[in-house]
Amino acid sequence: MKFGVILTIITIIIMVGPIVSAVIMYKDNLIALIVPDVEELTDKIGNYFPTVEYADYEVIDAKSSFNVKFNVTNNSSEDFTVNAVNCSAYCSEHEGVLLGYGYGEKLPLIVPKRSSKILSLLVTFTNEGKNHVETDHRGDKDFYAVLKNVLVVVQGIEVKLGDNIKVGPIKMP
Amino acid sequence: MEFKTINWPGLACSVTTAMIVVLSVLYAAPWWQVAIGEGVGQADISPLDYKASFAGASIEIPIIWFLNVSGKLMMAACAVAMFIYSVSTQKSFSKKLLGFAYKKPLLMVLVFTAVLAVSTYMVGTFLGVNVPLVGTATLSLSLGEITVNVPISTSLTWVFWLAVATAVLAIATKIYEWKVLKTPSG
Repeated sequence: MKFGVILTIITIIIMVGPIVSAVIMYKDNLIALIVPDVEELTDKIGNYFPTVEYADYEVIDAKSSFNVKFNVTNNSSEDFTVNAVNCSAYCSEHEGVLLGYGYGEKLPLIVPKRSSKILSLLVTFTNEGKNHVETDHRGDKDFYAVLKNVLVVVQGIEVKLGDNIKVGPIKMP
Repeated sequence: MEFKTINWPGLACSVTTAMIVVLSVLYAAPWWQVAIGEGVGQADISPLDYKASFAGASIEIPIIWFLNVSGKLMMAACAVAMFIYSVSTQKSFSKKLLGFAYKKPLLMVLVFTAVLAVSTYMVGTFLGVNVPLVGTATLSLSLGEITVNVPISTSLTWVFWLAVATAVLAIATKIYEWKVLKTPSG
């Protein structure tokens, strides 16, 4: 056999051989050859993102600020980092009254794999917020705040939540 | 073996081709990388290797593994053929070896670049997500009432440029054969 023919056959085997092997191995389910297992992917991706639940509050100063705590649970097998959180806080009862602005404390917060950590959000009152709380909610036992325009930066990805988060009842001194 | 009959660009090409294969086997060295967020997603891609993950899940596409095997075999065969040709340019089979080897690195770089360009273009067209071939971008996605801004960065690695240099050396090998060695056709 001529040398050139041998080289041509080698080229064909190298280029076509693996593809033919793939088709033979996956002959019962050719789709699986070119499409990843979406179900498995969805499950794994679903577990990657942590669950966040409102946990508690702490009134630091009834005239200036309060603290909202969220329990962040990371069910994935990798650490999860919360880089930044900020939001606007409004009075739940009197819609449109801006209480203040909230910022994440002690960030970045690294939630180790398969564990939970507390994410603390410090809400500092604006002058309008201070006046409103002092005049309309002093001594309230079931004061609710609504967190709007919540912007969370996790793993470098910026997530703007469309839903508002209602926190409370907060006992105002 | 006489030094003046050695095809030096060919010898260099066989070395760089072998390096690409060794880098792939030992380190799965990518030619192109994608990073999504800070460790949220990562893709390391080359004609010889593929590794991609998103949100902790490895994205496996079996056909790519088989194509990578083909790529590895092609480059390994090219390295061997180019080396044998380069040190035995006066042999009757040498021209056939050169013909077998010299187009492969060029073909691989061109096909890889074309596939990358077409893939990023198609992702932009069909998913509305502009992934740059090289550089950084922010992808804005709306999921119901949630808006997500995802930073994405892509880069060509030095291994890609090694592959480009290999392709250039392969062409230089052919020109050297034609202009300098002027061997009789075998």
